[in-house]
Amino acid sequence: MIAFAIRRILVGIVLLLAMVLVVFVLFFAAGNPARDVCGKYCTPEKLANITQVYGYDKPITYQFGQFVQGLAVGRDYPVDDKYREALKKSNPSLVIHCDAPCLGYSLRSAITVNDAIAKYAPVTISIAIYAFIVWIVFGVLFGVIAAVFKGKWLDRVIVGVTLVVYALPTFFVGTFLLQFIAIRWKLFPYPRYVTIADGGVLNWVIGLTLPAMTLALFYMAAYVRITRAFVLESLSEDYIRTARAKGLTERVVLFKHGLRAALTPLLSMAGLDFAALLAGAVITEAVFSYQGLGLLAVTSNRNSDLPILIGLVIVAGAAVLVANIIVDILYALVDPRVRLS
Amino acid sequence: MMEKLLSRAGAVALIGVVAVSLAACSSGGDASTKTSTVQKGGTLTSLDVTGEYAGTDPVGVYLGVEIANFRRLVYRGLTALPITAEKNPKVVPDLATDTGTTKDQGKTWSFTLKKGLKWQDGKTITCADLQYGLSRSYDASLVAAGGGVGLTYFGDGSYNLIDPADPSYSFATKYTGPLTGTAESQARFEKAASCSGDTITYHFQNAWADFPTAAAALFSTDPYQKSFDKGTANLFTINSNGPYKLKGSTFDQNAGGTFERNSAYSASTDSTDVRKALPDVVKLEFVDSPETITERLIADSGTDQAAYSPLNIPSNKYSQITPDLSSRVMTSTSPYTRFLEINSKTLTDPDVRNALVAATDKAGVVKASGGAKWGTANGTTVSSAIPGFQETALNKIKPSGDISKAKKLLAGKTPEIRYAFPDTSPIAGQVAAVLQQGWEKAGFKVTLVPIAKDSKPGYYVQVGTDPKPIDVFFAGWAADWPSLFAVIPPIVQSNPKGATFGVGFNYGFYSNSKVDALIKQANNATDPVKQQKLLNEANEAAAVDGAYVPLANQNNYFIYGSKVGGFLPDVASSYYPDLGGMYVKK
Amino acid sequence: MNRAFLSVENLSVNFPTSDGIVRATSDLSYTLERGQTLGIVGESGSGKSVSSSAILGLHRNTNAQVSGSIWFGGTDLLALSDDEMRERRGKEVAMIFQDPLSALHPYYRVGDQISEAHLAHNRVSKRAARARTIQMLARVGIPQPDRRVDDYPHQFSGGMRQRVMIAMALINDPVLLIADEPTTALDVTVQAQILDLLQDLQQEFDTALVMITHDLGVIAEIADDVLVMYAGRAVEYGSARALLSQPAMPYTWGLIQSIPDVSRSVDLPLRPIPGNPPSLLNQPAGCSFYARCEYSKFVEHNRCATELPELSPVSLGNLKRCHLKEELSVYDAQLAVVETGAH
Repeated sequence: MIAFAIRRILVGIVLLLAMVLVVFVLFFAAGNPARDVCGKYCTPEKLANITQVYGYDKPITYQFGQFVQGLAVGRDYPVDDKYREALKKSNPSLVIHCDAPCLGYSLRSAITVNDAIAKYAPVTISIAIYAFIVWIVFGVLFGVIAAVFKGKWLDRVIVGVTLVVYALPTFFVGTFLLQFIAIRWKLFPYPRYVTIADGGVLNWVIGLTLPAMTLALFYMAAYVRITRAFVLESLSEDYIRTARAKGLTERVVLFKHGLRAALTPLLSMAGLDFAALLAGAVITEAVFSYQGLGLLAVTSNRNSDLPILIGLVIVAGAAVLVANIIVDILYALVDPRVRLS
Repeated sequence: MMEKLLSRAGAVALIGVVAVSLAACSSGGDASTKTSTVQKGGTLTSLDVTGEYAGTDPVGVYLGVEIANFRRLVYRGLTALPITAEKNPKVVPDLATDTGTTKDQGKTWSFTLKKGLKWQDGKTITCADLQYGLSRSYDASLVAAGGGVGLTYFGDGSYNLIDPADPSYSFATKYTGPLTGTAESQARFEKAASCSGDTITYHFQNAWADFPTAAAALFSTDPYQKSFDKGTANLFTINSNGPYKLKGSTFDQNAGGTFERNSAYSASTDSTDVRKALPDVVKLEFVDSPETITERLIADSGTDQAAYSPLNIPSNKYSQITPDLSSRVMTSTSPYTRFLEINSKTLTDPDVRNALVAATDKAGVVKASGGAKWGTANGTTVSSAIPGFQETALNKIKPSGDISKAKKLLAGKTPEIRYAFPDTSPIAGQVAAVLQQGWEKAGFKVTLVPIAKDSKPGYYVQVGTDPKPIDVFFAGWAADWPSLFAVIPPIVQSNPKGATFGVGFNYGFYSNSKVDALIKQANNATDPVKQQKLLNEANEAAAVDGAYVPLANQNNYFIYGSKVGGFLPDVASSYYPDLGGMYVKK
Repeated sequence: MNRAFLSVENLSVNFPTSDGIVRATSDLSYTLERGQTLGIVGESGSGKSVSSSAILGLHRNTNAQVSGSIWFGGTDLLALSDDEMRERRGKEVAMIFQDPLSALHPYYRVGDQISEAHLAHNRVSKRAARARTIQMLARVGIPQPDRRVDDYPHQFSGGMRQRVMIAMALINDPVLLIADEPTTALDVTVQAQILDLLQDLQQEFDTALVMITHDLGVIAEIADDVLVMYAGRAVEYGSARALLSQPAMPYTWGLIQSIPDVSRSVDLPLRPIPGNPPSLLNQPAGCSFYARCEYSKFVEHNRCATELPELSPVSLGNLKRCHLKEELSVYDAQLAVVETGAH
């Protein structure tokens, strides 16, 4: 079991490095990164300055090497060695130090990518956790109900409603919750993000509710259908017939024998969906103006803020990679058949 | 200049005396209505859209609403424009003791700092700070998205700051600012903008008649503390010398910032004509969409009662502005005008250009854009909100277009024209359709060139290159400071190197020697009234020569919360709501 | 009335579908005593599994319509409430299924699954149940039972897994055991072991055993009585000796003849029964075997096509559902043809 875990983690690290390389090549292969970062009012002087700070004129292998070095031990900006040493003597306060694991430095926002992500991550993580809990609990609950009452009116109602909800786009639900539920009809306090430190746990939860609901509704609809399908499939397995033949109560048959087998693949799916949410729910955060990683990605893209974009892609990819590893390990813990392979 | 100042000062003093005596007379009676409505305290919130403020470093700020807000909150200038509903207000002293003195009709300007001015850390503001502030305009790395506003006017080709001992020395090319500039260029700079005690003297190559007004509207001449400077790391920091200071260390581009009272600020060094500083806290809050902002202000609940927005109400919300809201809704003339620039390198025949102007359905454009609430059809690129405004002959053309006149001018020709516009909304497409229809009626063959919102390079880079496969394109302009100088020359003065405005907005490359001569004369004139006359003549000459196609003067359409008092869009704030006089009603 | 230990009387199981009613089992009756083995033989879809599942009450809470009666231990199982039936299920009457790999839950240890069956019907401690489980595993011939009790189903070979299933079925000492094709998924050698085991256990516990299979060889080995099912009906029923020595129904003849015989000449062709079983949805009016029967021409007035035969006894005591007269030794003639190779 331990060997299995270690193997998966090592493979994961290799994959992560490969991903960083691919991201690097993608961003640098297409067009002129210095020009993109320079922005709308680019002057030749500004372009030269940016090239110097970021080292865009260096060969790409050098840049990648610097990036990996930054990840491992941290690095300093500007990138050009001679220029930086000279600056250290003349104006040391202008030298920017970025601690490991350094994902880069953004000139446009005057902040290291790590700091930017650390600043915006709590909102995204909070929304993701809240939405996750809601959609898992209610998605599985209604999915199980629909499966158990298959064919009856309760099942039809649940399936019909989820179909409609699933079809609603996130921006529609989010805008509706914001502009009608919160602002116009005043059914809910205006959504504002409040940290636990500032407002206590209750206000934090209230502030997260509308954006979390926007996300949760969509996933809930999907998970009701998926749970229903998994449970129905599980209940048609032979071991269910055996369980009944043993004289076990329907409740034990359903929950211990049926659900256990259905929930395992379900939770591994959910783990991956959750990890994807950690990259930031772009539309939801934009609609509610919540300063999360998704909004950061949008504004960084609009401003062609390459370093932040690269950092975000890497963080998002790493989250999915890590989630994959965790899910694999969890699955092996639960399903003994997997372990021996 | 001196006499004028004295008489102005005298007039102000007189008015002051009269005001005091009037107040004394009426103190027994209705004094309560005057003083009780203006209240100190509370939190005032300004709602704006995310991502607009690309930086808060003074030399990097270009956005009109940002300049307006920060002038009142945190950044004091040598001079300032007062809070007033007047259309042609006079500039008043702010950090300086007066509005500047010049002995040579504006080639050199001197200002003396008041006593007792402090930064938020308690240190005194010195002349060296003024020097340092301007010097940063020459550092390209600091001018984030500001587009080099400072360099536009202080660099080559415009008024051009010069070393009096060596006027040919080009700071724009040789001086890279205080952080990285050579010792020699730094020394020269300190002579171009020289300090003697608390007095700074600027030396310009070309006479800058309304420099005091420019100093009020631009941040380039504001002071900056050397000890505060961390270069690009200061992109989103604010070092205040105004009545408020930023809470926290950085301003958030996406979320905004909160401003609390600055204890180091002394109101006695300031004037309530410029800053009343009534609320205890001012919040700049950024939200994703203008629709949400409008919804919140209409709903007027909770803290939103003390909120307002400098954004116009979007046209898809007009139907929700019911009559019961009228006490919180205001329209005013905006300093923004919309017009089309003509590529005079491809459309070389003035008759063709004038035919295009005549065939333009301005009324249709206004209608498609939102109607009277959005704007009014006009005949010039200058907004009626600018002091010295005058319409051109083009205003006589029927707003829906004069097709027969256009056809006569074309005399049977059917020129092909390519019209480019930024494809940012469905309305842009509707406007293009209206224009196309009108022009085709006159005989033009029109191809539409919509340019996508996020296309790279951006819209203005594309329409600004030469050559370009575009004959006419959509544009808009608002003066950087309330003066005809900030509108007419940037658009119609030809720009070979060495002219007054090397960097401008003349993307159509219009070149008319008569127009250029009139502008040069205006530059050399010393009397503001004469300057305005000459500039208006230049504009007229350009207009009837088909330099541009005027469309409309935009209107502002504002809504604010029920507890917001003193709401006043004025000249000082580029017709955005002036934060200087606003307060929270109890 | 002195009923037999197990008495199935006129059992019918129908499944309503959108295409019509599927009559999986029609009017089935048989009896069984303790210590006896009944072999039920037939093709897929003959109704052998469906009818046996009805004994365990596994059709409750489905949309199946079950009618008739199943007398067991003095009560009609079909008349019991769901809870009452559940008390007996896995206790007095137990079932072994065909594919032990899919019939055992892959996520739970074998010992836990067996103990679970015991704990469902007995108030004992978990430790006691586990001890009993280990005992049972030993009894069914699993080596090192105290170690293997904590293994997962996929860690056993096919034969061992089936022993586990048997252990699970017998953990509560059932008096009636239904084995639904328990050896079909196993090799022949393992099959023999399992059958031996079942017979041993039956002797030891005096269990009544219903052995469902399509394999006549298995029937020949262990069954006391044989029930041949076709298209949901019993078509022949009698003692194994009688039925196998003198089968009376053409379908049974066909079954026996289609078994490859090692002792016969290799040149002789196999004689499968031509055709397919009829649909259980729209059953034909007459005998359900009519379409495939070679001997219907021996019946007068074409009765096979129009009239469903009743079960009637023949001389050795077995019942046949067929219109053919017993005097007709067609079978003997046919057999002679086969043995001599004459045509």
